[in-house]
Amino acid sequence: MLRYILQRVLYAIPILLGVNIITFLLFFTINSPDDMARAHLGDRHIQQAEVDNWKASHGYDKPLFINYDAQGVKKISQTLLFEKSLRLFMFDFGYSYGDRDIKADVKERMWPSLAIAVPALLIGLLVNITFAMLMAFFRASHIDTLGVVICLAMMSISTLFYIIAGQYLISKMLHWVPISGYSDGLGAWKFIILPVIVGIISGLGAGARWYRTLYLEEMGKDYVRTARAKGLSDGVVLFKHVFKNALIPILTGVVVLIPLLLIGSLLLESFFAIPGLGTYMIDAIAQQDFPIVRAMVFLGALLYIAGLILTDISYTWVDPRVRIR
Amino acid sequence: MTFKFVLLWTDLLVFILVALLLAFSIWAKRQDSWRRPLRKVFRRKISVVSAVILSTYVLIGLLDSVHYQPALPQENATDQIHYDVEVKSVLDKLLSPLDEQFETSYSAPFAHQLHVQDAVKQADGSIVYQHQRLQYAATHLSNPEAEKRHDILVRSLKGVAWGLLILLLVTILLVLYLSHQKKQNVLATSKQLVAGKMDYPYLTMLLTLGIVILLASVSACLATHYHIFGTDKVGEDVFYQALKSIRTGLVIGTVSTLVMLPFAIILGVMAGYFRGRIDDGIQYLYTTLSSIPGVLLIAAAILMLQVFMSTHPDLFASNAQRADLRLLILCVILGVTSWTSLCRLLRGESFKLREMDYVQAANNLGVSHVTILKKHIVPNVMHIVLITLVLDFSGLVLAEAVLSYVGVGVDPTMFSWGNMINSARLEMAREPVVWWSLCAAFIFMFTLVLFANFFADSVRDAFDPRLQDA
Amino acid sequence: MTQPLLRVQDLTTRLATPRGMLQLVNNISFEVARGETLALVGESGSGKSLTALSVMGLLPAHARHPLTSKIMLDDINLLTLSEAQRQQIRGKKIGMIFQEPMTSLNPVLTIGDQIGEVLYRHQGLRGQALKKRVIALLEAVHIPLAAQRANDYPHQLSGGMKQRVMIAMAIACEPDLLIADEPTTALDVTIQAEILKLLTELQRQSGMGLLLITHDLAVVAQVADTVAVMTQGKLVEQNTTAAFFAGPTHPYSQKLLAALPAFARESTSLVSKYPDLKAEKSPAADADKPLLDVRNLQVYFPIKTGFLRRAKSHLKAVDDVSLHIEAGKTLALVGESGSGKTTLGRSISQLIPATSGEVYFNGAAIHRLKSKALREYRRDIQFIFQDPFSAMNPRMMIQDLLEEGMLALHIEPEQRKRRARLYALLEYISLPRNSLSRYPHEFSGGERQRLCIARALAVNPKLIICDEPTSALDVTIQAQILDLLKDLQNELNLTYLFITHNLSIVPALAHEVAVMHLGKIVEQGATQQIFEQPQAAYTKSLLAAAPKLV
Repeated sequence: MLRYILQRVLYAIPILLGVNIITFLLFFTINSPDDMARAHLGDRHIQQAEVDNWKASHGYDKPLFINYDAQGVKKISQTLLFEKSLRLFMFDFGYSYGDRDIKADVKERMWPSLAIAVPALLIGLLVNITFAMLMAFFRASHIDTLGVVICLAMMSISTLFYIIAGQYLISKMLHWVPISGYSDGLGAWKFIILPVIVGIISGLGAGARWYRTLYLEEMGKDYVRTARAKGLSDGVVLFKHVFKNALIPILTGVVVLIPLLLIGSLLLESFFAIPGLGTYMIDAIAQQDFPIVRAMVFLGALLYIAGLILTDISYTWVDPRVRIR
Repeated sequence: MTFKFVLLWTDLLVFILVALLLAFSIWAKRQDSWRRPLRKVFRRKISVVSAVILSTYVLIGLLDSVHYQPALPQENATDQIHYDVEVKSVLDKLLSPLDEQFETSYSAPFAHQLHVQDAVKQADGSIVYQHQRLQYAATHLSNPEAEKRHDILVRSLKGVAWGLLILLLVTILLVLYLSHQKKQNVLATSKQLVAGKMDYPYLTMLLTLGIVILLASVSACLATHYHIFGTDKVGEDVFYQALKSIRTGLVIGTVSTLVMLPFAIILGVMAGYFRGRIDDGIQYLYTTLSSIPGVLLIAAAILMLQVFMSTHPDLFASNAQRADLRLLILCVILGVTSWTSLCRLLRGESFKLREMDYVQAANNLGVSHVTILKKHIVPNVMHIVLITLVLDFSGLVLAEAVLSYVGVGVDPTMFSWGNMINSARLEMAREPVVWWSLCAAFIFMFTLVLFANFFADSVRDAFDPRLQDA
Repeated sequence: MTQPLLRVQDLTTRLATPRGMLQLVNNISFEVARGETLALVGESGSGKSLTALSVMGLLPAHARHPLTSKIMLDDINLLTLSEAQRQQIRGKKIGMIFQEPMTSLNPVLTIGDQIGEVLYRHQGLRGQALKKRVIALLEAVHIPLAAQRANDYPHQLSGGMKQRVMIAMAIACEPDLLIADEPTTALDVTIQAEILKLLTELQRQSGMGLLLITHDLAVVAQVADTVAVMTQGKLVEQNTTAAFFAGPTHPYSQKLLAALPAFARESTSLVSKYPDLKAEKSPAADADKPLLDVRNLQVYFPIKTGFLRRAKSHLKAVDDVSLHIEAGKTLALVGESGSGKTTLGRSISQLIPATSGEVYFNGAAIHRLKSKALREYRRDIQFIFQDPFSAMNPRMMIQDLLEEGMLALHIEPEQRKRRARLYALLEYISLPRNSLSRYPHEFSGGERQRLCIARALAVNPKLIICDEPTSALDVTIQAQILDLLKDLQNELNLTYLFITHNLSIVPALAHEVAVMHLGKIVEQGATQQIFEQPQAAYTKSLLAAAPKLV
C-alpha cells in the first residue's frame, strides 16, 4: 500500500513540472518581462530606466533559461525559470507585487475558504444523494419525471443568479443574515450560512440528476434481479444493494474535490466578501498580480493531483474488487 | 447605401460551423446508424419544442454574425467613400433605431420618464428634482400617464394580429409541404395533423413556433415606441443588449467545443487504439492540462492577452476586431480546458473498440491503421462526440457569465449576458432597485440553457447505447 | 400426489411497446409436481425465460398478463397477488438461479451476507444461528472451507463457485419450487456436469419441484422427468423425457433433435458413423509439408503494476505449444475458457505478438516478418469469430464490409470484377444479392455468421481460424453453419483450425484434435484416437463431463 502511494506521488512530479512549464511559457514568453513591467507601471511612454528599476526590485532582471554570466550551478539557478517557477516546488511562493508574503497569505486565507467549502460539500452531498434516491425510488413515475425537469431547470440557472437572488431575498428583504462579510471565531456562522445554502442549491440540479443516472444504471444490473428474486423489499434492494454499488462512483467523484476545497469557491467568496483564497485569486486577477496567479496555479494543480491520488486510494476502500497487492 | 463587408474571425467560424452542421445533417440522413437515433430525437415533443426555440436563437445569432461597415455620408459625390469605424451587423439594421437611441440614464420597462430624478433649474432659479421625459420612448403620447396603458394594449393586439397572420401562413405552407411529401390531399393531412397522427409531432412544433412568432411580433410592435426591458445606466435599450448577447453566448457554447474537437478526437482515438508509449504521452498531456484549475488557466491566458494587446495596440484595426479576437481566444482556452474530458472518454471507448472482433478482423485483412481508425474506430465514437457537444453547450454558456464576472470573460465592451449580470449586481443595491437588466439577462439566458439542456437530454437518450432499453 | 405443485394455465405475456402490444408468450399451460423436474426447452427468443420470470413475478414493468392467465402455486394464484405478497413467496417458496453467475451476485457484499439476507428476511434468523446456517448451506453446495469462504466477495470465487453460491441462496429457505434459468450455460463442461449433479442431488434430498429452463437437449436428457418444448412463444410439445427422445412428435422438436451433433447422440460407434474418418491414416505418414507448422510457441502477458509498468510476473497464456495442420484438413483445438486457445489462434496470425517460438506457413517463417511483408500472408490466414454481432462494424454496409479486405490487399482492383466476386461469395453463403446494400443489424445471427465467412473467403485464404464460430448461435443454426464450413472445405480445399470448447461438434468436423489446458497442449492426435482412447487424464475428464443424451 505504502509502495503504491509512493509510486503515485512520484507520478505527480512530471505532471507538476508540466504545469510549471505551461505557466512559465504563458507568463514569460508570450510577453517579455519588459512588457509586463510596462503593463504594470501603466504608462506606455515610460522611461526604460524605470522599467529596469522595477524589474530589478521584483527580481525579473534575469535571463529566462540559462544565465551565461553566472558560474557553475548558478548558470541554471540564477534564471527566471528557476527562481520564479521551480522554486514553487519548495513551496517558496515568493512575494506579490504588493510585497506581501504569498505563503503567509495562503496560510491565513485557507481557513475561511474551508469554512464555506466543507459544509457546502458535505451537506450538498447528502442532499443530492437523498433527492436522487427519491427519484430512483419513484422511477418511471410522474414524480420522477417532475424531479428530472426540476433538476434540468435548476441546472439552467447560472450560479450568479442564485447568489444575487439569495442575497436580495434573505439579506436585503428579510434581513435574516448580513449580506456579506466575515468574522473570525464562532461568530462567523451568520456569514457562512447563506453562502453554504446558496452553494448547495446551485449544485443541486446537476448533482441529483447525475446521481439518479448512476442509480438507474445500477438498477439495471443482474444482481438487482437476484436480490428481488430473494424476496427482498424494494427499499432493501435500493438502500442496501444499489446504494452500496452506486456509492463507489459517487464517493470517488467527490474525493477528487476534497483537496481543492482549500482553494474555496471563487464566486461565493467574492460575492459574500469572505476573505478566503477565492477572493484572493479574484483580487489578484483584477489587479493583475501575476506572482499570486502563478502560485495559485501551482497550488491548484498540486491539490488536484493530491485529489487523484486520494481517489485511487479511496477505490481500494470502497470497492472490494480493487485491492492493492 | 454603400457598405463594406467585414468578416470577423468568429463570424468565419460560425459560418464554418453552420456549413458543417448542414453537411452533417445531409450525411446523417443517409446513414442508417444515424438516421434511427435522430428520428427518435425528433419524435419526442420536448426535443421538438427545444429545437424550435434553439433555432430561433441560432437565427438571431446568425443575423448578428453578418457584419459590415456602413459608408459615411459623402460631402460631394466625387469624394472617396469613407467607412464608419463602427462595425454593424444585419441584426443591428433590423433592430434599428434601437442601437442608436440612447437615453441619458436608467429607465424602467415601458417607462416614459427616467428612473432617477434630475435636478432641473426652473425659470425662477430654484432647483426642482423631477423625472425627465425619455427622448425616444413614448414620445408620441402627449399625456403618457393616461394614454400609455391603452396604447400598449392596442399595439400588443396589433402585434398579436400580425403574429397570427404569419402563423397561419406558416401552417398553410407546412400542410402543403406535408401533403406533397405524403402524396395525399390537403384535408387528410390537416386532419392527421390536428389528431397528432403524424410521424413527428408537427402540431407541437407549430404551437411552439406560434408562441415564438407571437412573442416576436408583439415585441416588434412595442419596441419601436417603448423600451420594453427598460434602459441601463448609459441609457441603452436593455432589450437590444439582451438580443445582441445571444451571438456571444452561442459562439462561446459552440466554437469552444469546435476548436478543440479535432485534437480531442485524434488524440483520444490514437491513445486508445495504439496504447503503449503514444497512450502514455497523450495521457500525460491531458492529465497535466486538466490539473490546472480551469478558471486559473483561463485567467492566466486572458491576462497575458490583455498585456499583449495593451503593448501592441497597433495590431488591431477596430474595437470590434479587438473584442472579437478576445472572444476567439477565450473560446480556444475554454476548449482546451474542456477537451480533456472528451479525450479521456474517447480514449476509453477506442480502447474497448480496439478489442472488438471487427477491428481484429480488419487487422487480419491487412487494412492499414489509418483506414481502421477512419472506418472502424472514429465512426463508432462519433455518438460520444455528439453527446458531449450538446451536453457541453449549456455549461459553456453558463461559464461565460461567471468568467465575465471574474473579469476574464469577453471584452467589457462586448454585449454578453455575463457583462449584463456583472453590471446588474451593483444595480440591485440601488434604491429603488434596478431589476430589469438582470431580469432580461436571466430570461434570455435561462430559456437558451434550459432548452439546450432538454435537447441534450433527448440526444443522449437516443444515442447512448447504455440507455437504449430504458 | 394428487395436486401438482405449480400449475401454469393459459399463460399469455404481452409487452407494452411504443408501437403497441407485443405478444411474447402465447397461451401456454404446464405443471410441475413435487420432486419432479420439468425442462422448458427452446431457443433464444422462444419465451422460456420470460415464463420463468412470470412465475417469479419479476417481469419488467411494462409486461402484462390477461385476466384468464393463471399461475397456481398449490392453491394460490400468483398473478393476483400484490407485490408485497409476492415478496413473501419469492425466496421462500420459490427460489431461482440465473444464467450469469458472474454478474448475478452483488460485487460489494460478501457471499455470507448475501445468503444470510434471505434467511433473515424469511426466517428471521440472526447472529450465530444465521452464521451457522449460512455455513451449513455453503457446505451443502460443496464449497470447501465454507466458514472462511462466507467472508469472501464474489470476485474472489470462480464461475462454478459463484453458481454454487447462487444455488445456496436459492435453496436457503427450502423452497417448494426451484427455477433454474440456463444454470450451466455460462460454465465450462467439466463444471457444468458438477452443477447438474448438485442440482439433482439437492432435489432428491428435499423433494422440491424443479423448473429447468435450457436450450441444451443433452442437459435435459440427464436431469429432466418431463420436457416441454417452446418456440415463438408457444408450447408445441410436452412429454416424458424418455418418450420425447424416443420419438418427438412436433416437427420443431424433430428439428431440434436432428440438429444435435452425433457425439452427443451416441457416444459409441463414432467410426461407423463417419467412414471417412476411419479411412484416415495417421497424419505423420503423409510426407507432405504441413500448411501450418507451429513450433514451441509461447505467448506471455506481463502483469504490469504501477506507473513504472515493470512486469513483475507473467501470465502464460500459451506455454510452449507445437502443432501442425496439413492442407485441406481440419484441426480442432479443444479447451475450456481460459485455456489459451483463442490467444494461440490470434498469435498464429500475428495479431498478438508471440513471446517466443516459430510459426511456419507454407514453409515461410511468418513470425519473423514485419508488418509490410506480413501483409502478403494476411490473405492466406483468415478469421471467423465467435460473436457474429461484434464481428461486423454496425455502421458499415455489407458491401463495404466484404470489400474491405480486397481493397486493402489489392485483390480484384477493377470494380466490375470485384462486384462479380461479391456476387459469387453471396452465392456460396446462399444470401440474396441485395444483401450488399444492407446493414449488419438487418440480419439474424446465423446470417451474420455466414457473412463473416464470406468476408474471410473474399481474400482467397488457405487457412481459416474458426474461433468458436457456432457457440453464440442456436442449435439448429449451429448445424447449418457447420455444414456450410464442411462444404466450403471440400469445394475450395480450405484448411481449418477450429477452436472450440464443445466436444460434441468435433467428430463431425475435425480430422485431428489437440486438447489444450492451462496454456499447454495435453494431447494431440487423430480424432478417432482421441475420442476412443484418450491418454491424458484431462482429456478423459473432458469426455466424461460432456453432456450426452443417453
